[in-house]
Amino acid sequence: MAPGAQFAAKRLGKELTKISKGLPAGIVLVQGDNFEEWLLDIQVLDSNPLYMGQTYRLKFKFGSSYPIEPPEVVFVKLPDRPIPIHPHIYSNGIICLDLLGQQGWSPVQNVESVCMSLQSMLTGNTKNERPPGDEEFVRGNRLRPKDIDFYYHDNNV
Amino acid sequence: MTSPASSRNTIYTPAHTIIPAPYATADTKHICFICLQTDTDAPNGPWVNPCPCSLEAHGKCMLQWVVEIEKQARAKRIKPDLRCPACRAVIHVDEPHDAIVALQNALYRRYRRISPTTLVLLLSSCTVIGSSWYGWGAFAAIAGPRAARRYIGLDTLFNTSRGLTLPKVAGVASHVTALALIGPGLVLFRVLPSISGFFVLPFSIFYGAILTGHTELWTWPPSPELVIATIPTVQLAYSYFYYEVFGPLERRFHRTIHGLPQRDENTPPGQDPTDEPGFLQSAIAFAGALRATLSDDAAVESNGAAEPMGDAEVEFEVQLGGNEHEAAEDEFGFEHDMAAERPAGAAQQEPEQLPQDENRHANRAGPPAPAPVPAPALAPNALDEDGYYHGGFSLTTAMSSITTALLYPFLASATGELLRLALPRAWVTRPRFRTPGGLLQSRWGRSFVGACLFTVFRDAFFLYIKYRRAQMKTDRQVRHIEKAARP
Repeated sequence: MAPGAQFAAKRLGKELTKISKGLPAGIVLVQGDNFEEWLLDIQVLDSNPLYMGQTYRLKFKFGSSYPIEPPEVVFVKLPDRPIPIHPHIYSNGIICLDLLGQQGWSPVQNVESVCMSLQSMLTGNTKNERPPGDEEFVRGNRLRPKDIDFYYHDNNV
Repeated sequence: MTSPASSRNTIYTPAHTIIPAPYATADTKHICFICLQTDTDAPNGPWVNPCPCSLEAHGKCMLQWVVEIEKQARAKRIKPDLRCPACRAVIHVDEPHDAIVALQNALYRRYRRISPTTLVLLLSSCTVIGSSWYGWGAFAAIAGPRAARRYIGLDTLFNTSRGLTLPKVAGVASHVTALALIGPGLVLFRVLPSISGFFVLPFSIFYGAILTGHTELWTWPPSPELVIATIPTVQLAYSYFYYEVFGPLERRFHRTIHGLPQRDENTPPGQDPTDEPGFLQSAIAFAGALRATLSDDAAVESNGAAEPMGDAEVEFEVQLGGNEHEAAEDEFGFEHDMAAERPAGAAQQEPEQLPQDENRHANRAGPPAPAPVPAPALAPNALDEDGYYHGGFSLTTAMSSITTALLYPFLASATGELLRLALPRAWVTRPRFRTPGGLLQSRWGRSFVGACLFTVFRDAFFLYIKYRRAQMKTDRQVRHIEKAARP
């Protein structure tokens, strides 16, 4: 483990302890046996027809300076885990959420709160569409999610 | 939702952001919102409440976060904006004040602000010094080192009992500045003879008139100032003379050298319907016509009054034009000269043509001219009926052109020295008890005459070269090989 990672590990250990005591409804920890990468499943609990009955797989990747820096969070596509349709979620699972960028992130956030924010983001959406330029982005993007220069401008969706 | 996804992607804003607040539980007094450790986990950490709300953290963890925020702000070149993630209150960081660090910071900021200006100043003063040095060298070559020293006034500056006075220093400074202008002047007249001539010719005539009206009324030998003032006129006359007498000859040689059909001298090339001048070409042709009208060599630098001998070279150098391009001619396959015989208004410029482009030329020679157009005043270099622009923008051509311009004073001076050695002593020695009896008895005068002679000889030489080349082109044959000798 890298020297800085001690800091992240301590913090993630604390989060894990809290998660083991219980998570909000619709959030399940699938895999959290190391301090680098966790998998979680989330569900939208209300009757939004876009997401009803679906479960989505989230992958969290933590850097050694977590929680000073945000984790990298993407949706993962599996046979029974689709990528949710949303104007801010690309079809390769990359999420445009200011909370996950350097501007929006703060160390007060944690895995649980990110999952809850994503639940809320899906619940509030009514548009059955991908972000503009999704195909092109998915084909052309070679950047890590945190290196993408997202343009934050919309808070109505 | 209109931004393109490829470069800048739309992102979700904090409408749905959940802010968890890790309240201290009953069994702990403190919890750090960054590392989530409680005071039972890490009892020693100094705790800090950075804002009015309930969030608290370890001082060390907070500082880690502060560093990250500052790093991001630096990358974006903005002021770090440190706020509580829950209540958005501004978080303050107190740093101990260190006078020396603060002073260094302030000085460095100021230094960074003024350093570009300082650099520009340094570079420009180097340029001025270098170009003054060149000007001094040129002056000394033309008029002799003693005259150069006298002109600058350094001797009087230090040798008088009254010491340094402001007017004297200013005088020296202005003369040094004038010297510094010689080099750029030479190059400028070389590169933009027409523009420069346009401004300088009226000035020189006016200046000459003033001189003549004052004390200089037809004394012999003339003063350096008067000589300088007459140079543009002399050059105009020389250019016109050259063009009238040798122009047709030279054009014929040129056409022969390039295998172009000979044609009637009076055919205005602009009449050819195949001429399709672009805007740039028209502009160049206009500049060429202007240059021809003013004589490309007419030039006295505007500081000529203050700087008598230094400028004398300026006027002659331009004559070096044209011909040296002969050297490049074979390489590029065309002559770079300007079609100056064209009327300025109808100035038309044909694209540069390669010699093998003969068919077009043959066609073009066909249509007869409706009316001969009288040629405007002409420059000796403006030889080429086919409107080849003089110069192109080849770097090597430009560099050799500038070098020639800057060498001109020294060539003139060397020719002057040759005159001194070649001519009878009485002609070139200043009489001891009488006033000088001729231009050649002063060094500047010899340089002046030397420059004139140099120009004339050079023109003659290049004309001769053209003649020889034309002959060689005419007389050459494809080598015949006897059948029997074939392998």
